Amino acid sequence: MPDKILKINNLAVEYKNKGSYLRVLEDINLELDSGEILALVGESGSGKSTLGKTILRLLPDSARIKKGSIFFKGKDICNLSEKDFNDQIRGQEMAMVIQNPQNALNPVFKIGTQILDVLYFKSKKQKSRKELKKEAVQILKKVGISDPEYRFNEYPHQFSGGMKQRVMLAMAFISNPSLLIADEPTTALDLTVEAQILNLLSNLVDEYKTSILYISHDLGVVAGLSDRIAVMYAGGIVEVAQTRELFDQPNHPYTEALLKCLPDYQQTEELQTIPGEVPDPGNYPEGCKFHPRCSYSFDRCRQEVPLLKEIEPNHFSACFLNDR
Amino acid sequence: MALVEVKNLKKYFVNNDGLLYKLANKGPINVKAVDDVSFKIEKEDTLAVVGESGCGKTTVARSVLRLIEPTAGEILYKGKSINDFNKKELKNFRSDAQMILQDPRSSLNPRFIVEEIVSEPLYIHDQIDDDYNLLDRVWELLDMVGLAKRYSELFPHELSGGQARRVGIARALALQPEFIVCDEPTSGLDISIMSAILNLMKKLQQEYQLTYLWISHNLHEVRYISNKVAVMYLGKIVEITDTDTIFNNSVHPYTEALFSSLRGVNDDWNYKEREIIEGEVPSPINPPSGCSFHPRCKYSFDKCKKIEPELEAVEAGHLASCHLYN
Repeated sequence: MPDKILKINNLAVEYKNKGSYLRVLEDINLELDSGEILALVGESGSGKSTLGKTILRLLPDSARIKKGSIFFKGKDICNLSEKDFNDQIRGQEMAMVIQNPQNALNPVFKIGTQILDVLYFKSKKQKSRKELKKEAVQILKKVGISDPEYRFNEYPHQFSGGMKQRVMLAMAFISNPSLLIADEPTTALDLTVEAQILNLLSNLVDEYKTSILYISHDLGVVAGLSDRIAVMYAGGIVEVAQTRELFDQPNHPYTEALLKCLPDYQQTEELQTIPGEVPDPGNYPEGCKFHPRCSYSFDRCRQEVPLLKEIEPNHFSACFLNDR
Repeated sequence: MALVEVKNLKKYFVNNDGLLYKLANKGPINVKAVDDVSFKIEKEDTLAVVGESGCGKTTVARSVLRLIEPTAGEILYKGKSINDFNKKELKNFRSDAQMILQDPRSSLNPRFIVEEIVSEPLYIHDQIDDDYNLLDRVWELLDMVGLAKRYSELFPHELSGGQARRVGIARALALQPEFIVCDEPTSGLDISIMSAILNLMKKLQQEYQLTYLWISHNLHEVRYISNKVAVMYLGKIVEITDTDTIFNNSVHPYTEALFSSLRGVNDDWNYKEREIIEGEVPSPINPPSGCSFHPRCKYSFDKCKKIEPELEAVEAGHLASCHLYN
């Protein structure tokens, strides 16, 4: 059994809203093995980005962790001081790649300067930037930027979206993190470029043995990338399974419905839809949050909240149908 | 006779702004956004135009509706050139041909309620008898797109993305058009909402005999909604044929590359082992010589670097521009 790199227990996160608190994440239990790619999928508003930010402690001041704990390499990171977290974990052991590479790079600094900054802090300010330049060019080359010495002196606006995301990946992998949180890193990219970036990411993971929490709404992408998938709905995890198992034998009605919605290229009959819409935080229905949209719901679903249970080895689902 | 026929459409954007640029006195640069594109759309067909960003698909869509004037070429609507339309004919064309814009929310006026948004085309085209009729018509239109009557009183910010998209569709349907240009109508929507919108668009097409020009980069969606597909690369159509053929027997290397990056959930595959096309779409300011795809093409040979391939028939109803086949 490989070590758990990340262990989340009963996590609940709330946002302040007009004096009261809205629960946006509830009862999150999740484990991540080392070297594993876990995909977090769900529709917008399901709380997947909030979970990613909670792990890196990037939540805004209006949010708080109501209960639960996050263990990273056996250490409870919720109770670390901000300074310790910054010195030991953020950017060192954990890194993040965000959705829009344009917003992640500083437009007034050269690409090379921004990479040097990361290297400089990694060397604990021991080496000069001049000494590190060679290393930085090597890194650009490694992520597939052609003519890296020339590109080193260019600005972000001279880079295409795909190249910017390559630079972001390069910067994230400089410190050789144990955990990378990738929040929809390819959403803004074209189809062929997206495939290139995901190919690069797969290869980097192989080389550095990094675990990845990959946040996405695109089931097609995660099918080709992840080892396991966690499906989120309205602030909770409803199903966790191995990638192939989830697609072949989905257990939770929401997962099943979501898969049937996909206009996958082999089918041309009428597409299935899920009636209704994802409820807003603060407006969650009683009992199972999916029950108003679920075609199998019965009395118990309206009264009790189902918990994530192991229904088969390594396949977890939160649905009362499994108890019947 | 085809409902819409585009003949050798060209749209060059001229780039000669900027003081430094004028001082350097290099003369204007033509950005060839659309370069010699021809296609036909038969009545009740759906032609999907697919391609990566910057390939000119939105420029084609806008030219077809005469929202921008083409540099050269002709667009025929029911056999008549839309650029020769007189004022009255143009107004008729404007009610016959509608557009569904890409962003569901920003394409709705934030100061109008849904009733005003949906009825505005009716006012502009003078199709109103009295106010009582109007609200009935709005409700009818909302019902057609699956929205309840109460939505007519809401502002756009009170709608979800899927509902805003439905309002955009209702507005496009208000004047009973024959032809609708859909510019990525499902982008930015969640999966379950997207499938509902696709079902709706297909249902409306059957009920009201609509013809669609469907701009998209989502190939799964194209498979479902369209019966013809045109693949664009750098301002040109590289392959055009019916949907089944393009998914099963495509010939152009770019189509092959694009469709191989298609991500299905049905079979076991991963990004590590998949063959992936290299490079990115070049800039239309300075396109490569010869075939514009040759720097990224694994089959390219000498001829590709020098001579630009023509769009020619590979078999009946299947055109491709590639030296491998012609």
